[in-house]
Amino acid sequence: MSNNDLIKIWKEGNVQMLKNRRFERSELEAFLKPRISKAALNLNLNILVYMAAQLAAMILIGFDLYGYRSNPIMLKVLIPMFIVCSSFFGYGVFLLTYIWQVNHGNFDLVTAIKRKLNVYRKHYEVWMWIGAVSLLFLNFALNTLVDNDQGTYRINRPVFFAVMCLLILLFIYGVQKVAQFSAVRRIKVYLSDLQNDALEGSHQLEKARTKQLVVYLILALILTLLFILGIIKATGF
Amino acid sequence: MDKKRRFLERVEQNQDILHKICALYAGNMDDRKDLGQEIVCQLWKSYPSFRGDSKFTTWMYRVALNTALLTLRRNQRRVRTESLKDHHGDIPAESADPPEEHGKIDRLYEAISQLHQFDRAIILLYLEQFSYREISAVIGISESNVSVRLVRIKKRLKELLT
Repeated sequence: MSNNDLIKIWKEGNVQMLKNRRFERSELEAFLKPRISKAALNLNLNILVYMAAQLAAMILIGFDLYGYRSNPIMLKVLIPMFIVCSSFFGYGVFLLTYIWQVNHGNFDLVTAIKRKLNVYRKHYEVWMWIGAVSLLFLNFALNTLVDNDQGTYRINRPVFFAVMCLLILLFIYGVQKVAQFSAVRRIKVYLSDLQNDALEGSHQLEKARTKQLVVYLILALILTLLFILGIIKATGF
Repeated sequence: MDKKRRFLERVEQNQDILHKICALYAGNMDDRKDLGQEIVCQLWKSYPSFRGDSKFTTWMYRVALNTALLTLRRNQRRVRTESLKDHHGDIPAESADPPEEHGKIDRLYEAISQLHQFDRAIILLYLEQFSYREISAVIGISESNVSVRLVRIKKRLKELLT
């Protein structure tokens, strides 16, 4: 069979096959109604939620700046917090724009895949840390607003406070990482396979999924037991 | 409104592209319709980025293949288990062409469906008689790479068809 035979079969076969397959104009028009890809929605929603938290933190820090205007130490803390928070918000805007461009840009296939991978490998990893820090800022801004004692705010146990902040930061990051792990890993592996012209990763992922489910179930069981034990101890039974 | 009408006109004129890509990348009729819808929607969203630097069909192939490749995973498991009947089951029995003609195109589609998703895109463009340069521009690999891959793909296709 020559190359020309392949082209001939393709051309003639398709003429016949496609003769009976036509989309009417009305069908095509109906296709244009907004459809939102679930993966894109999840990612964008996550970014928007944290941007809302950053906006709330900036507003609260704004109130704090007024409330602590005569306290130079607090100003030294709050002003950099405000600047960092607004930079995070800017990064969120950049990320949303970047994702929009990747989804709507006129790129060749390889470039489109590389850019999508770039979102998940680099930007989204950074964003998860930013999200954790943003919530910490929001929490701090709220506490300082509520506990404002005529322009002063006192941290009674600074070391304990710092350790707790660090733990909260790691906890929020960890929760995000676990919540997004499965979905993000799937997309990363799939895009990576596509880029490398292979399917190994996707096949391995399918196999790993069952193991992952068992691990999650065991973890959930341990955490539930710890929770019940905690309640029993606290209530003194 | 004119822009939308013009867009729909162009897509309608070139809708063969949609059907071919859907037949290569989606398993059954429902999946094909879903993929078709996904592609048309994505084409419309990307339409502002089309500035006429390339032919409309080249741009349409690029966006459609991009969408198909990234939508494929969802249907991958189903595609593996789909029968060929599901693929081309809507060719009418009373068609004037001899059944042998249907058999050839069915077998060609089936053989292409067994290739890796990137290779499917390359052979599709080759069969549509795109030049190596055009294929390279749509896929994003060098012309020499297109040439090397095509040799391998055609060899594989011939093995599958004999």
